[in-house]
Amino acid sequence: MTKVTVNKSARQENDELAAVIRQRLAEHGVLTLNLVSSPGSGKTSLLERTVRDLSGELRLATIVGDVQTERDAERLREAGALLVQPITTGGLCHLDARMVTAALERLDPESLDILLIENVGNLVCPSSYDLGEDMKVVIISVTEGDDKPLKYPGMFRRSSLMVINKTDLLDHCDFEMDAVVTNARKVNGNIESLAVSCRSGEGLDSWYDWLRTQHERKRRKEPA
Amino acid sequence: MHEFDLARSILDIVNQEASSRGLQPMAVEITVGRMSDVVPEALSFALDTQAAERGLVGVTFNMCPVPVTMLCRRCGHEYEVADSDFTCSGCRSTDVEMISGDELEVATIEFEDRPCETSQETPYEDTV
Ligand SMILES: Nc1nc2c(ncn2[C@@H]2O[C@H](COP(=O)(O)OP(=O)(O)OP(=O)(O)O)[C@@H](O)[C@H]2O)c(=O)[nH]1
Ligand SMILES: [Mg+2]
Ligand SMILES: [Zn+2]
Repeated sequence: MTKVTVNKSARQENDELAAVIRQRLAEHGVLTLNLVSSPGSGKTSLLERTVRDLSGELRLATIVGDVQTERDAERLREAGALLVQPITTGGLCHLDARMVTAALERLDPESLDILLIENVGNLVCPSSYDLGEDMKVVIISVTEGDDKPLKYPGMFRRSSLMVINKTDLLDHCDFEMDAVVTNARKVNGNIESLAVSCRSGEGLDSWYDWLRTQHERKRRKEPA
Repeated sequence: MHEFDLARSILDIVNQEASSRGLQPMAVEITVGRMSDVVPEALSFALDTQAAERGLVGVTFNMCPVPVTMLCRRCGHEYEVADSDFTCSGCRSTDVEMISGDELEVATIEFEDRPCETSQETPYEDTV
Protein backbone atom coordinates (compact mmCIF):
# COMPACT_ATOMS: atom_id res chain seq x y z
CA MET A 1 0.00 0.00 0.00
CA THR A 2 1.17 3.49 -0.81
CA LYS A 3 -0.35 6.43 1.00
CA VAL A 4 -0.36 9.69 -0.91
CA THR A 5 -1.11 13.14 0.45
CA VAL A 6 -3.58 14.91 -1.83
CA ASN A 7 -5.13 17.82 0.11
CA LYS A 8 -7.58 18.85 -2.60
CA SER A 9 -10.73 20.74 -1.75
CA ALA A 10 -14.08 19.29 -2.77
CA ARG A 11 -15.14 22.89 -3.44
CA GLN A 12 -12.30 23.61 -5.81
CA GLU A 13 -14.42 23.53 -8.95
CA ASN A 14 -16.96 25.94 -7.48
CA ASP A 15 -14.22 28.21 -6.15
CA GLU A 16 -12.52 28.42 -9.53
CA LEU A 17 -15.76 29.42 -11.24
CA ALA A 18 -16.42 31.96 -8.50
CA ALA A 19 -12.99 33.48 -9.04
CA VAL A 20 -13.78 33.97 -12.73
CA ILE A 21 -17.08 35.70 -11.89
CA ARG A 22 -15.37 37.91 -9.31
CA GLN A 23 -12.65 38.93 -11.73
CA ARG A 24 -15.10 39.75 -14.51
CA LEU A 25 -17.34 41.88 -12.30
CA ALA A 26 -14.39 43.59 -10.64
CA GLU A 27 -13.03 44.75 -13.97
CA HIS A 28 -16.15 46.84 -14.33
CA GLY A 29 -16.42 47.91 -10.70
CA VAL A 30 -19.72 46.10 -10.18
CA LEU A 31 -20.54 45.66 -6.49
CA THR A 32 -21.87 42.12 -6.06
CA LEU A 33 -23.81 41.03 -2.99
CA ASN A 34 -25.02 37.58 -2.04
CA LEU A 35 -28.19 37.90 0.08
CA VAL A 36 -28.78 35.00 2.44
CA SER A 37 -31.35 34.29 5.14
CA SER A 38 -33.83 31.77 6.50
CA PRO A 39 -36.92 31.34 4.33
CA GLY A 40 -39.16 34.37 4.65
CA SER A 41 -36.84 36.84 6.40
CA GLY A 42 -37.46 39.37 3.67
CA LYS A 43 -34.81 39.04 0.96
CA THR A 44 -37.26 39.61 -1.90
CA SER A 45 -39.01 42.41 0.00
CA LEU A 46 -35.71 44.19 0.59
CA LEU A 47 -34.78 43.84 -3.06
CA GLU A 48 -38.21 45.10 -4.18
CA ARG A 49 -37.84 48.23 -2.04
CA THR A 50 -34.25 48.76 -3.09
CA VAL A 51 -35.07 48.49 -6.78
CA ARG A 52 -38.04 50.86 -6.43
CA ASP A 53 -36.09 53.44 -4.43
CA LEU A 54 -32.66 53.38 -6.05
CA SER A 55 -33.26 52.57 -9.70
CA GLY A 56 -33.09 56.22 -10.76
CA GLU A 57 -29.71 56.58 -9.09
CA LEU A 58 -27.84 53.31 -9.50
CA ARG A 59 -28.00 50.68 -12.18
CA LEU A 60 -29.12 47.55 -10.35
CA ALA A 61 -29.56 44.00 -11.53
CA THR A 62 -30.85 41.03 -9.60
CA ILE A 63 -30.46 37.30 -9.81
CA VAL A 64 -32.93 35.32 -7.79
CA GLY A 65 -32.67 31.70 -6.80
CA ASP A 66 -35.90 29.94 -6.00
CA VAL A 67 -36.34 26.29 -5.24
CA GLN A 68 -39.34 25.52 -7.42
CA THR A 69 -41.09 28.63 -8.70
CA GLU A 70 -40.44 31.96 -10.31
CA ARG A 71 -42.64 33.87 -7.85
CA ASP A 72 -39.83 35.96 -6.41
CA ALA A 73 -38.55 36.77 -9.87
CA GLU A 74 -42.05 37.89 -10.84
CA ARG A 75 -42.23 40.20 -7.81
CA LEU A 76 -38.91 41.76 -8.71
CA ARG A 77 -39.87 42.15 -12.33
CA GLU A 78 -42.98 44.04 -11.21
CA ALA A 79 -40.84 46.29 -9.04
CA GLY A 80 -38.92 47.16 -12.18
CA ALA A 81 -35.77 45.17 -11.59
CA LEU A 82 -33.38 44.36 -14.36
CA LEU A 83 -33.55 40.65 -13.85
CA VAL A 84 -30.53 38.82 -15.13
CA GLN A 85 -32.17 35.43 -15.08
CA PRO A 86 -34.16 33.62 -12.43
CA ILE A 87 -32.62 30.37 -11.30
CA THR A 88 -34.91 27.61 -10.17
CA THR A 89 -32.70 25.19 -8.33
CA GLY A 90 -35.10 22.26 -8.68
CA GLY A 91 -34.91 21.34 -5.03
CA LEU A 92 -31.29 22.25 -4.41
CA CYS A 93 -30.71 24.09 -1.17
CA HIS A 94 -28.33 26.79 -2.41
CA LEU A 95 -27.03 28.60 -5.46
CA ASP A 96 -23.60 27.67 -6.74
CA ALA A 97 -21.10 29.42 -8.97
CA ARG A 98 -22.05 27.31 -11.98
CA MET A 99 -25.65 28.56 -11.83
CA VAL A 100 -24.51 32.16 -11.47
CA THR A 101 -22.10 31.78 -14.38
CA ALA A 102 -24.98 30.59 -16.56
CA ALA A 103 -27.24 33.41 -15.38
CA LEU A 104 -24.56 35.97 -16.15
CA GLU A 105 -23.99 34.84 -19.70
CA ARG A 106 -26.14 37.54 -21.23
CA LEU A 107 -25.13 40.31 -18.87
CA ASP A 108 -23.00 43.24 -19.84
CA PRO A 109 -21.17 44.22 -16.64
CA GLU A 110 -20.32 47.55 -18.24
CA SER A 111 -23.95 48.61 -17.87
CA LEU A 112 -24.17 47.85 -14.16
CA ASP A 113 -23.38 49.34 -10.77
CA ILE A 114 -24.68 46.73 -8.35
CA LEU A 115 -25.60 43.08 -8.78
CA LEU A 116 -27.83 41.66 -6.05
CA ILE A 117 -28.11 37.90 -5.81
CA GLU A 118 -30.96 36.47 -3.75
CA ASN A 119 -29.88 33.06 -2.56
CA VAL A 120 -32.21 30.22 -1.60
CA GLY A 121 -33.79 30.72 1.84
CA ASN A 122 -31.60 28.53 4.03
CA LEU A 123 -29.14 29.47 6.76
CA VAL A 124 -26.84 26.48 6.32
CA CYS A 125 -26.02 25.34 2.81
CA PRO A 126 -25.54 28.65 0.94
CA SER A 127 -22.87 29.87 3.34
CA SER A 128 -20.05 27.71 2.02
CA TYR A 129 -20.71 28.28 -1.69
CA ASP A 130 -18.75 31.19 -3.04
CA LEU A 131 -20.70 32.86 -5.88
CA GLY A 132 -18.01 35.35 -6.74
CA GLU A 133 -19.64 38.03 -4.58
CA ASP A 134 -17.83 40.84 -2.82
CA MET A 135 -19.79 40.26 0.34
CA LYS A 136 -22.55 38.22 1.86
CA VAL A 137 -25.39 40.09 3.50
CA VAL A 138 -27.38 38.07 6.00
CA ILE A 139 -30.97 39.09 6.70
CA ILE A 140 -32.65 38.14 9.94
CA SER A 141 -36.19 39.10 10.90
CA VAL A 142 -37.23 39.91 14.45
CA THR A 143 -39.69 37.01 14.49
CA GLU A 144 -36.85 34.50 14.24
CA GLY A 145 -35.25 35.02 17.65
CA ASP A 146 -32.11 36.90 18.62
CA ASP A 147 -30.06 33.73 19.10
CA LYS A 148 -29.97 32.91 15.37
CA PRO A 149 -26.30 33.95 14.98
CA LEU A 150 -25.26 31.43 17.64
CA LYS A 151 -27.31 28.68 16.06
CA TYR A 152 -26.02 29.28 12.54
CA PRO A 153 -22.50 30.61 13.14
CA GLY A 154 -21.21 29.71 9.68
CA MET A 155 -23.56 32.09 7.92
CA PHE A 156 -22.95 34.98 10.30
CA ARG A 157 -19.18 34.45 10.29
CA ARG A 158 -19.04 34.69 6.52
CA SER A 159 -21.34 37.70 6.22
CA SER A 160 -20.13 41.29 6.26
CA LEU A 161 -23.46 42.87 7.13
CA MET A 162 -26.48 41.76 9.12
CA VAL A 163 -29.75 43.42 8.15
CA ILE A 164 -32.36 43.05 10.89
CA ASN A 165 -35.74 43.20 9.18
CA LYS A 166 -39.39 43.54 10.26
CA THR A 167 -38.68 46.03 13.05
CA ASP A 168 -42.34 47.04 12.79
CA LEU A 169 -43.08 43.77 14.61
CA LEU A 170 -40.66 44.33 17.50
CA ASP A 171 -43.44 44.98 20.02
CA HIS A 172 -44.89 41.56 19.33
CA CYS A 173 -41.68 39.57 19.70
CA ASP A 174 -39.19 38.69 22.44
CA PHE A 175 -36.41 40.00 20.30
CA GLU A 176 -33.68 42.14 21.85
CA MET A 177 -31.81 44.30 19.37
CA ASP A 178 -28.75 44.47 21.65
CA ALA A 179 -28.72 40.70 22.11
CA VAL A 180 -28.73 39.91 18.40
CA VAL A 181 -25.86 42.33 17.77
CA THR A 182 -23.85 40.91 20.70
CA ASN A 183 -24.46 37.37 19.49
CA ALA A 184 -23.47 38.20 15.94
CA ARG A 185 -20.25 39.83 17.18
CA LYS A 186 -19.32 36.76 19.20
CA VAL A 187 -19.39 34.83 15.97
CA ASN A 188 -17.92 37.55 13.77
CA GLY A 189 -16.21 40.54 15.36
CA ASN A 190 -16.24 42.47 12.10
CA ILE A 191 -19.90 42.14 11.17
CA GLU A 192 -21.79 45.41 10.68
CA SER A 193 -25.48 45.62 11.40
CA LEU A 194 -28.47 47.77 10.63
CA ALA A 195 -32.19 47.53 11.34
CA VAL A 196 -34.98 48.06 8.80
CA SER A 197 -38.62 47.47 8.15
CA CYS A 198 -39.44 46.69 4.56
CA ARG A 199 -43.07 47.28 5.47
CA SER A 200 -42.85 50.76 7.03
CA GLY A 201 -39.64 51.80 5.30
CA GLU A 202 -37.98 52.61 8.63
CA GLY A 203 -34.20 52.31 8.48
CA LEU A 204 -34.02 51.72 4.73
CA ASP A 205 -32.06 54.94 4.29
CA SER A 206 -29.16 53.50 6.25
CA TRP A 207 -29.23 50.41 4.02
CA TYR A 208 -29.15 52.61 0.93
CA ASP A 209 -26.27 54.63 2.36
CA TRP A 210 -24.38 51.43 3.07
CA LEU A 211 -24.95 50.33 -0.54
CA ARG A 212 -23.77 53.70 -1.89
CA THR A 213 -20.63 53.58 0.24
CA GLN A 214 -19.76 50.02 -0.77
CA HIS A 215 -20.41 50.75 -4.42
CA GLU A 216 -18.22 53.82 -4.31
CA ARG A 217 -15.40 51.78 -2.72
CA LYS A 218 -15.77 49.11 -5.31
CA ARG A 219 -15.74 51.62 -8.14
CA ARG A 220 -12.54 53.14 -6.81
CA LYS A 221 -11.17 49.63 -6.28
CA GLU A 222 -10.61 50.20 -2.58
CA PRO A 223 -10.65 47.20 -0.28
CA ALA A 224 -13.92 46.91 1.65
CA MET B 1 -28.62 17.80 1.03
CA HIS B 2 -25.64 19.22 -0.86
CA GLU B 3 -23.60 16.27 0.42
CA PHE B 4 -24.48 14.40 -2.78
CA ASP B 5 -22.96 17.12 -4.91
CA LEU B 6 -19.85 17.26 -2.80
CA ALA B 7 -19.52 13.49 -2.88
CA ARG B 8 -19.37 13.66 -6.67
CA SER B 9 -16.54 16.19 -6.52
CA ILE B 10 -14.68 13.97 -4.08
CA LEU B 11 -15.14 10.90 -6.27
CA ASP B 12 -13.90 12.89 -9.28
CA ILE B 13 -10.76 13.88 -7.37
CA VAL B 14 -10.12 10.27 -6.35
CA ASN B 15 -10.58 9.12 -9.94
CA GLN B 16 -8.20 11.77 -11.28
CA GLU B 17 -5.53 10.85 -8.77
CA ALA B 18 -5.98 7.16 -9.48
CA SER B 19 -5.85 7.40 -13.25
CA SER B 20 -2.84 9.73 -13.28
CA ARG B 21 -0.94 7.11 -11.26
CA GLY B 22 -2.49 4.04 -12.82
CA LEU B 23 -3.13 2.62 -9.37
CA GLN B 24 -6.16 1.18 -7.67
CA PRO B 25 -7.37 3.29 -4.71
CA MET B 26 -8.18 1.40 -1.51
CA ALA B 27 -8.90 3.98 1.17
CA VAL B 28 -9.58 7.70 1.16
CA GLU B 29 -9.27 10.06 4.11
CA ILE B 30 -11.55 13.09 4.00
CA THR B 31 -11.11 16.01 6.37
CA VAL B 32 -14.42 17.54 7.39
CA GLY B 33 -14.18 20.83 9.26
CA ARG B 34 -16.77 21.41 11.94
CA MET B 35 -17.69 24.65 10.15
CA SER B 36 -17.83 23.12 6.68
CA ASP B 37 -21.63 22.80 6.82
CA VAL B 38 -21.26 19.15 5.98
CA VAL B 39 -22.68 16.33 8.05
CA PRO B 40 -20.04 13.57 8.02
CA GLU B 41 -22.63 10.78 8.20
CA ALA B 42 -24.55 12.22 5.25
CA LEU B 43 -21.37 12.63 3.22
CA SER B 44 -20.30 9.11 4.05
CA PHE B 45 -23.67 7.79 2.91
CA ALA B 46 -23.54 9.85 -0.28
CA LEU B 47 -20.06 8.55 -1.08
CA ASP B 48 -20.98 4.93 -0.48
CA THR B 49 -24.07 5.14 -2.64
CA GLN B 50 -22.34 6.87 -5.57
CA ALA B 51 -18.90 5.26 -5.54
CA ALA B 52 -19.83 2.23 -7.62
CA GLU B 53 -21.43 4.22 -10.42
CA ARG B 54 -18.29 6.39 -10.57
CA GLY B 55 -16.18 3.27 -11.04
CA LEU B 56 -14.85 3.07 -7.50
CA VAL B 57 -15.58 -0.36 -6.09
CA GLY B 58 -14.16 -1.59 -2.81
CA VAL B 59 -12.89 1.81 -1.70
CA THR B 60 -13.25 2.80 1.97
CA PHE B 61 -13.98 6.42 2.81
CA ASN B 62 -12.94 7.65 6.25
CA MET B 63 -14.20 10.92 7.69
CA CYS B 64 -11.73 12.88 9.83
CA PRO B 65 -13.52 15.65 11.73
CA VAL B 66 -11.48 18.83 12.19
CA PRO B 67 -12.19 21.15 15.13
CA VAL B 68 -12.43 24.89 14.64
CA THR B 69 -9.07 26.45 15.50
CA MET B 70 -8.63 30.21 15.76
CA LEU B 71 -5.65 32.53 15.99
CA CYS B 72 -5.93 35.85 17.82
CA ARG B 73 -4.37 38.70 15.87
CA ARG B 74 -4.03 40.76 19.03
CA CYS B 75 -2.35 38.40 21.49
CA GLY B 76 -1.28 35.50 19.26
CA HIS B 77 -3.27 32.95 21.26
CA GLU B 78 -4.33 29.80 19.41
CA TYR B 79 -7.51 28.14 20.63
CA GLU B 80 -10.32 25.80 19.73
CA VAL B 81 -13.93 26.89 19.46
CA ALA B 82 -16.41 24.39 20.81
CA ASP B 83 -19.62 26.44 20.65
CA SER B 84 -20.43 29.62 18.74
CA ASP B 85 -18.24 32.07 20.63
CA PHE B 86 -15.28 32.85 18.41
CA THR B 87 -13.82 35.61 20.58
CA CYS B 88 -10.27 35.03 21.83
CA SER B 89 -10.33 32.84 24.92
CA GLY B 90 -7.17 34.60 26.09
CA CYS B 91 -7.89 38.31 25.73
CA ARG B 92 -11.54 38.46 24.51
CA SER B 93 -10.50 40.20 21.28
CA THR B 94 -12.78 39.73 18.28
CA ASP B 95 -9.92 40.35 15.86
CA VAL B 96 -9.36 36.68 15.18
CA GLU B 97 -8.86 34.45 12.18
CA MET B 98 -9.81 30.86 11.52
CA ILE B 99 -6.84 28.58 10.93
CA SER B 100 -8.81 25.42 10.37
CA GLY B 101 -12.33 24.12 10.65
CA ASP B 102 -14.03 25.02 7.38
CA GLU B 103 -12.20 22.60 5.10
CA LEU B 104 -13.66 19.77 3.11
CA GLU B 105 -10.75 17.99 1.50
CA VAL B 106 -9.53 14.74 0.10
CA ALA B 107 -6.57 14.53 2.47
CA THR B 108 -4.90 11.23 1.57
CA ILE B 109 -5.46 8.26 -0.69
CA GLU B 110 -4.04 4.80 -0.12
CA PHE B 111 -3.31 2.89 -3.30
CA GLU B 112 -2.74 -0.77 -3.91
CA ASP B 113 0.85 -1.25 -5.07
CA ARG B 114 -0.16 -3.36 -8.04
CA PRO B 115 -1.32 -1.22 -11.01
CA CYS B 116 -5.01 -1.42 -11.73
CA GLU B 117 -6.00 -3.19 -14.93
CA THR B 118 -8.30 -0.52 -16.26
CA SER B 119 -5.85 2.30 -15.71
CA GLN B 120 -5.63 3.15 -19.39
CA GLU B 121 -9.36 3.59 -19.77
CA THR B 122 -11.56 6.38 -18.57
CA PRO B 123 -12.48 5.37 -15.05
CA TYR B 124 -16.18 6.02 -15.53
CA GLU B 125 -18.76 7.16 -18.00
CA ASP B 126 -19.98 10.60 -17.16
CA THR B 127 -23.69 10.40 -16.45
CA VAL B 128 -25.15 13.88 -16.51
N1 LIG C 1 -44.38 42.92 8.98
C1 LIG C 1 -43.41 42.81 8.05
N2 LIG C 1 -43.48 41.85 7.13
C2 LIG C 1 -42.49 41.76 6.23
C3 LIG C 1 -41.41 42.67 6.20
N3 LIG C 1 -40.57 42.31 5.21
C4 LIG C 1 -41.12 41.25 4.61
N4 LIG C 1 -42.28 40.92 5.21
C5 LIG C 1 -43.20 39.80 4.86
O1 LIG C 1 -42.52 38.57 5.12
C6 LIG C 1 -42.92 37.60 4.14
C7 LIG C 1 -41.69 36.98 3.49
O2 LIG C 1 -40.99 38.01 2.78
P1 LIG C 1 -40.09 37.71 1.50
O3 LIG C 1 -39.53 39.00 1.06
O4 LIG C 1 -40.85 36.90 0.52
O5 LIG C 1 -38.96 36.81 2.17
P2 LIG C 1 -37.79 36.00 1.45
O6 LIG C 1 -36.62 36.03 2.37
O7 LIG C 1 -37.57 36.50 0.07
O8 LIG C 1 -38.40 34.54 1.41
P3 LIG C 1 -37.88 33.25 0.58
O9 LIG C 1 -37.42 33.72 -0.75
O10 LIG C 1 -39.06 32.34 0.54
O11 LIG C 1 -36.76 32.69 1.42
C8 LIG C 1 -43.84 38.31 3.17
O12 LIG C 1 -45.14 38.03 3.52
C9 LIG C 1 -43.50 39.77 3.38
O13 LIG C 1 -44.58 40.63 3.10
C10 LIG C 1 -41.38 43.71 7.20
O14 LIG C 1 -40.48 44.53 7.29
N5 LIG C 1 -42.41 43.71 8.10
MG1 LIG D 1 -37.53 35.47 -1.72
ZN1 LIG E 1 -6.25 37.30 22.12
